[in-house]
Amino acid sequence: MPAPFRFVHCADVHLDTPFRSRSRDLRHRLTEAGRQAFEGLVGLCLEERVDALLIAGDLFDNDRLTLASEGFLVDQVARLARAGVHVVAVTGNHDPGRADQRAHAIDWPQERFHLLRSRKPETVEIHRRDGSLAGRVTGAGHLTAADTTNLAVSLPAIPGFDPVVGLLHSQVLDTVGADRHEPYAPCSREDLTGKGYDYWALGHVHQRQKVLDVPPAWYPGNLQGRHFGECGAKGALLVSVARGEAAKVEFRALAPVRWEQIVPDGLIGARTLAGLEESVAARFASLRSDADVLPGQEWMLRVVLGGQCPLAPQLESAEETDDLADRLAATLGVLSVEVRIDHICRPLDIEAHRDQPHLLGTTLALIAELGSDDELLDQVAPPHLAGLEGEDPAGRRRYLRELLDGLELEAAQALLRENVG
Amino acid sequence: MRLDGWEVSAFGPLAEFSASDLAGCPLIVLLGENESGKSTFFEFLTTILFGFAPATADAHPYTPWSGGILAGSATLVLTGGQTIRVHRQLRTTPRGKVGDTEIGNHPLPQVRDLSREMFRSLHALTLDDARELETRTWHQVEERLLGGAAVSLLRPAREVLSGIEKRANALWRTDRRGRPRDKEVRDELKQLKSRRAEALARTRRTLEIRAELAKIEQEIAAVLVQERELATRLELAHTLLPVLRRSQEIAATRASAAELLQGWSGSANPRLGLDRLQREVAEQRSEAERVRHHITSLEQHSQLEQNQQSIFDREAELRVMLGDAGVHRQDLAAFDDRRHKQEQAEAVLLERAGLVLDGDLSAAERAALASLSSVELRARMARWSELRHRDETAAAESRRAGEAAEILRQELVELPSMAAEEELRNRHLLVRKAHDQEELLKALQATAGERGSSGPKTVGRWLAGSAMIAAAAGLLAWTVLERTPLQWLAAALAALVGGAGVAILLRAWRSGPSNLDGRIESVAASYHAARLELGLEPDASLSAISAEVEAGLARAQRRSELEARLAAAEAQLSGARAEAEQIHDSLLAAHQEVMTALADLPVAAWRLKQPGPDLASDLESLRLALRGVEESRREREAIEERIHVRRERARRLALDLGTPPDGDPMDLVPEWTVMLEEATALRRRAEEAREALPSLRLELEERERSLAEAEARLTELTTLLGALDPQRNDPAEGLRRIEEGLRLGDRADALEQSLAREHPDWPERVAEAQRLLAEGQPLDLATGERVELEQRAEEVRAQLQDRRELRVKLSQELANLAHLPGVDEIDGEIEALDEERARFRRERDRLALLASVIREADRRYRDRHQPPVLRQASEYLRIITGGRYDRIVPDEAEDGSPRIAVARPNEPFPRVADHPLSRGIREQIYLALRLALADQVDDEEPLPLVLDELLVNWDPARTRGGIRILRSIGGRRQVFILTCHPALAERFAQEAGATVVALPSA
Repeated sequence: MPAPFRFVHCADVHLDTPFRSRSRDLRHRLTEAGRQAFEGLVGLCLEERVDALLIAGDLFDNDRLTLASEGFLVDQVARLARAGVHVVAVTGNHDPGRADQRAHAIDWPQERFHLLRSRKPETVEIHRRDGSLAGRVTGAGHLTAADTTNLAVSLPAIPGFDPVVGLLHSQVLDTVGADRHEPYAPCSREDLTGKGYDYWALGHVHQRQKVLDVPPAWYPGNLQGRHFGECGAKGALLVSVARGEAAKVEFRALAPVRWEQIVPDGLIGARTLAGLEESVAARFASLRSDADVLPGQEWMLRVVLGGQCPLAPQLESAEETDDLADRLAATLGVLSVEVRIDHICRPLDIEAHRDQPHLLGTTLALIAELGSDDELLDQVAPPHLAGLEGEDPAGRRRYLRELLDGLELEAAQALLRENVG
Repeated sequence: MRLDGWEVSAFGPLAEFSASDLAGCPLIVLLGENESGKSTFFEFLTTILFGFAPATADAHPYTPWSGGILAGSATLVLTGGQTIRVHRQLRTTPRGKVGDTEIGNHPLPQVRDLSREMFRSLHALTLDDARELETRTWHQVEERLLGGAAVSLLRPAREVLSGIEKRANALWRTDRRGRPRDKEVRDELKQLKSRRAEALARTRRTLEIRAELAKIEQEIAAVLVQERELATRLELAHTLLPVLRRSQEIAATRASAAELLQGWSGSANPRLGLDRLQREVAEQRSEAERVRHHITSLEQHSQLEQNQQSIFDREAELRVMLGDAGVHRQDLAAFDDRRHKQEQAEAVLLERAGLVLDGDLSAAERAALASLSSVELRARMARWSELRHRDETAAAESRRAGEAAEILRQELVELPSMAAEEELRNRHLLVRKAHDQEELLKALQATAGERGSSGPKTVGRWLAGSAMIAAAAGLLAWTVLERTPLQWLAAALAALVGGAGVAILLRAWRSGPSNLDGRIESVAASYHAARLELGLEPDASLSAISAEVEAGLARAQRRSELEARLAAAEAQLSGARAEAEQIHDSLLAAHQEVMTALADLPVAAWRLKQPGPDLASDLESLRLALRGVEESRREREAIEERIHVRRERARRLALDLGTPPDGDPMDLVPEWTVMLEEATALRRRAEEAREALPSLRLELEERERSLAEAEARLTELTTLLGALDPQRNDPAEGLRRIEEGLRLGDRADALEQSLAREHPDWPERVAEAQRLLAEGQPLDLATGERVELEQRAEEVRAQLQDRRELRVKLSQELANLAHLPGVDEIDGEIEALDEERARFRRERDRLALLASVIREADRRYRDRHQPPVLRQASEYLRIITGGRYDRIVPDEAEDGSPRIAVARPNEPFPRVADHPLSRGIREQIYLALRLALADQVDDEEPLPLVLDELLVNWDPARTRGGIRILRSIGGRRQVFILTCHPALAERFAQEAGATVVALPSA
């Protein structure tokens, strides 16, 4: 039986992503974390002695790559080439491959590096160190930053008995989290079937997920989380495929900095800030026990405090929440803690006021009506909205209904006297 | 719904409190003292209707103070006439029953449309509500009553909306007023975008510099190649010929050196060896002479010792004498000291002898004194002293006994005789008798005086006593007729009255005039007779003669006592005299014993008269002085003997040493010390010389042998050097030739080393030059050609310098650019701001939506509830004011806030319920609106209304109006009035037919 084609599948590295932090030190650390994750990726390839590293697009962010990062990338790829590991990368919407784009200007190593940067499909044969053919990788890249061509359909069926892997930066419709990304190079699950491929190495959607069982198609997620929309362990997939056998896919965490959001329970019982801190610490401890936590793992935490809480009056002060964030960062030993107050209010028995013949009862009834009555919503809504662009009525109503979430509690808190629960 | 009755088992301060049959009462007054539980009653009623809140006994504020279980029941009559019984209990969990149906802690079905808070807010009117009119402005009250927040648990809508809009406007505004956060962020973003453009320009500049640097590196590399080529050509021209010439010079120098050194095989300069050999010969010669002289000197020292032999023979004896010299000096001093002490002791002895003895002490007397036994002498003297003391004591005792007997005898002589004593006794009896009669006479005379002044009183006594006896007799006669208890009592009374009458009559009889005067006369006669017998003058006092007689009797009674005491004193005197004589005899014997002991000493006679302890001490002191004299003498003689012996030994030694003494031979000791030290030093030097001589002689031999060897080597070297000058055979010339040859060799080596340093490849260059010369090529460049080459080289170097400077400058600029924020970093800040902006814009929209919703809800509430409330309130106001006002209508202030207006019948324009309308009418409007609001929320099943001390501060007119309206309301809704004022309760009972229920005392 021939040896399987073994490779590491990653995507959406997004080197040089600008980070949303007002702290320069923190931005530098997060930028450094991206490079560190890529270095870990190369280390994984060398340690596992894989045949290839497949990069499914968006190696860097917004067509922008600093000279330092460029040098770093070239050095790391050269390390793999020297070790006999092929690197096959397709361009994505962030690092498109047209001649005037940044990816084109990189002085990549000549040996064992393959950049597929045009829409025209290309096939790369991956030979092992002993010269035997491990498998073939077929893929196509984005030429521009907004390529909406369905690249999947253009990939040909590859005849032969060796494993074939499709490599694309593409948005497979209806996948989890796809709606958060622009629909570039879109395709459907059906477009990935019937070509006789043994594995689809996809990129673009940042949430790790299996797109198809047969043939196996995966998004590995991005290599390093960059904000609180990209929480959880991040890394790459170690894949082993052989004709006639099920692919073996194994996730390997590589991100040195992990983003997580904690929403502590039972705030209604938290009567002191120390109690609140303990509740957060308990949730964080359960996160740390996760199997994918790396040794020396660093954390970016967001603590969301919402709902009914006896400490609501204190937590409405920005100074208090900043102090709480600093204390939590020091206590938990993490890079940074952001405390976000999400419509917190003092404990209220809102049901006691519902349907009562007073203003609050009427207000609660009105909010309930607004959830389903478009005409009423249009009538009641404020004429000018700060957070909405465009005049699309449906979009406006959707936005307004999002705002209605939790508004009952806020109305009750505003209307009830302070000593009334 | 009406409350027919209740049974409060335990609820806060209320316990075992019940009432019944109240359903038909429209107005019920609960009358109780402060803290008796009036307010608690409303909580109890609320709990009956809505259940327990909080639902745990630990947290419930009305958990009974007694520690019992919260529990109570109530009987309710519903609007439809149905009667239900509700029981609530809170042990660990709340329980509730309606009839037999468990309802847990749920509200009664009849109040489910109403919240507990609403009931508490609208169905309880307290004094605090009335006070609200004082603490808040009327405008706020109007807003609350007319607005959607009519219940007290809510804040007024306008106040809430104002707060929300303020928060929203702080984030984002549609107009340009103020500086909302959005505007701040917009400005920050503008700055960041400007910084981003700068960062972008820096990035472009960085790329340009990198490209330029790469180009410069290439240029530098090309210039360096040119420079190397030119340098090679110039170096060839400049260095080949000089190298060849310098190599030729080296060869010539080496040839000259070789010629001069012909015949000389050494490589070093022989001058050093020659000088060293000459110095060695001179040194060896000098050292041999020095050793020889030393040997001679030591041999002389060894002979000097023999002259001191006589001293060495007596060395031991001399050293003893030297050692004794110090002791001898001490003995001389001690001898003088002892002699002086002996003289002093002798003086002391003579002085002490003078105190005790007659004349000096002879030798025999000194011996007797020395052998005197102090102990024996002291014992004898002590005995004498004791006996003398006892003798004196016995004599004194005998004297005192004699004196005491004499005093007693004298006293006996002075006592009265026996006959005189008998006479005194008789007079004493007579005095007593006279004294008794005198006392009796005074008493009788006083009685006679009283009788004279108490005649009417005595008559009264006779009358009273007779009357009482008569009354007693009458009563006794009545009791004889019948024996009833009353008659027994009357008989006892008659006995008492009769007894008392008899006593009064007796007293009257005793104080009567019979025999009194006769008795006075008789007693006075006896009294005067007694005085005459005593011999008293008529005006003399009886007490004086009485004291005199008693004193005489007292003296006569001491006779026998004195006689007994005298006999005892005489016996004591006799014993004392006998004892004194016996002691005196012993004293004389003791004195004789002392005299015997001192017989051998010439003790002065006056001291022997009192041979007591003083004499013993003086004799002991004398004996000690004698001992001191003897001891000093013995010590002086011993020292004298030692001095003599030492001097004799010294004298013999002096004669042996040939130094006969003039005085004390011990004075020669210092001279002997010097002699001995000098002899010892001579002996030590001789010994050292004898020890050193053998080795010095060996050293001398060695020195002479070394000198011979050095002289041989010197001769050999000078012979060799002379051979290098074949003409004159002069060693100096030979030496000069060798030195010149060696100098030329060194110069050739230095030239070669210098050449090798400058041109490590000089042999190759020499070979190349020789090859070129052999080929006939000239090694020197023409001047013009060399100048041209050097100019080109200079240009290339300048070009290289220029490129390098530019490279440094650009690298520096690149490094500076690397430290400035990059586009990605600024983008990070922009994104952070964008995110914050999106967040607070969303928050602003949320707040704006909330404000819109509350505003709309407020409008809806007013539309729905205000008209019926105002209608009902108008009706209540009409009743309260007796028809003066009949309408309450809403109005609006200029700022849009709600106002209350009232109107009179047939008055087209209502007036705003504010100044100049009185506070009274405003309070009535308030009450009317509050009652109407309650009607609005429970119209179908009107719940009881509880007024807690609401009317206590109202004036009579308003109270009348209040009672009127409550009576009106009571027809439809049961009203409870809680008060601690009995007058108010009474007024409600009288004017409104209210039922008064008394609360248990606190």
